[in-house]
Amino acid sequence: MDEDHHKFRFLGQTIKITFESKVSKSILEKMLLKIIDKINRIYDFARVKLIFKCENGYIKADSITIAGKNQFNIESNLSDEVRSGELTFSIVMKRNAKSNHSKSFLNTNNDVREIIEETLYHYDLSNT
Amino acid sequence: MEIIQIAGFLGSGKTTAILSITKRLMEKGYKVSIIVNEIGDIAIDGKVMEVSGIKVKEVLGGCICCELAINLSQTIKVLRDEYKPDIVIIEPTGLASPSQIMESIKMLNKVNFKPIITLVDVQLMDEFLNDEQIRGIITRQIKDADVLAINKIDVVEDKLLLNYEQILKSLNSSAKLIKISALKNIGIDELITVLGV
Repeated sequence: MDEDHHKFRFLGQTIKITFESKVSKSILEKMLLKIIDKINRIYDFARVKLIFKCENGYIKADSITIAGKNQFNIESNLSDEVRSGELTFSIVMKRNAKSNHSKSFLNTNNDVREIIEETLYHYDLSNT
Repeated sequence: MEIIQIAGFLGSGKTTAILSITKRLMEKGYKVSIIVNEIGDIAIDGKVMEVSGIKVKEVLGGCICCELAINLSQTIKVLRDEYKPDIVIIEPTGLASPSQIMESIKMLNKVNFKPIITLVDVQLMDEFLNDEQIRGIITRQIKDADVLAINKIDVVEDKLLLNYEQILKSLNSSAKLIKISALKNIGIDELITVLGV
């Protein structure tokens, strides 16, 4: 492996989500951006990509954060409300990352899942 | 079969640029397929490309400039022999060295290599160049380029743009400099013309 690549690490996973009732595209977009925002607040460098894919289409949100500056993008081809889908996250961070947060530190996929579950709860969207 | 590599650091807009270029090439009648490399074993960009009806092959779980170089050669061969595209566009990871990728596939038969494009997002350039761990990667990607495409010009002030053009020229004076906005489809035709497709 290239020497520079050793300086970075990766987290990623796909989670199946079924909501109790149908959810609008705008709520899903807010949810994805909130998850990204929470992750970005933890690290001084992170490349985060999230995609929620369902039968009707997808919503993709991504960001890059470095030294307190962020860039966000969100795109979608979704038009209808959705009941279920798959949420995939992919995070590239520095191996020796410094946390900006006193408590949070994302070391494993389960840590990221916890952030996702918290955000779902925040928007009253429990995963059944 | 033509091979186009579109490199650039994480968040530089590679996927958006590749989608814009591919759609334009398909309108011109070319059969295009894309190889997407992700450093992790989870694919996201490939899912978006497939939705657009493009033939995509994913190389996951490492970088094609080093440990997965053989997988890249194999993937190109499979595409060449089975799908027979006119053009293959390679999207490396944002950490990859473009020249190392070219080195690993230069012996392939029946393919022509187009100039290496490196996308640059100047909005976070200062922060990237000030970061000890990132500076080397970005500098190498810029130096390896035949074409430097400054992306997202629709959201960057002209004054800032001029400043970074000078920085890019000082790092790689031989590369052709093009200003684009992949999202707004600005400069895409010029980029395709420079590629000679």
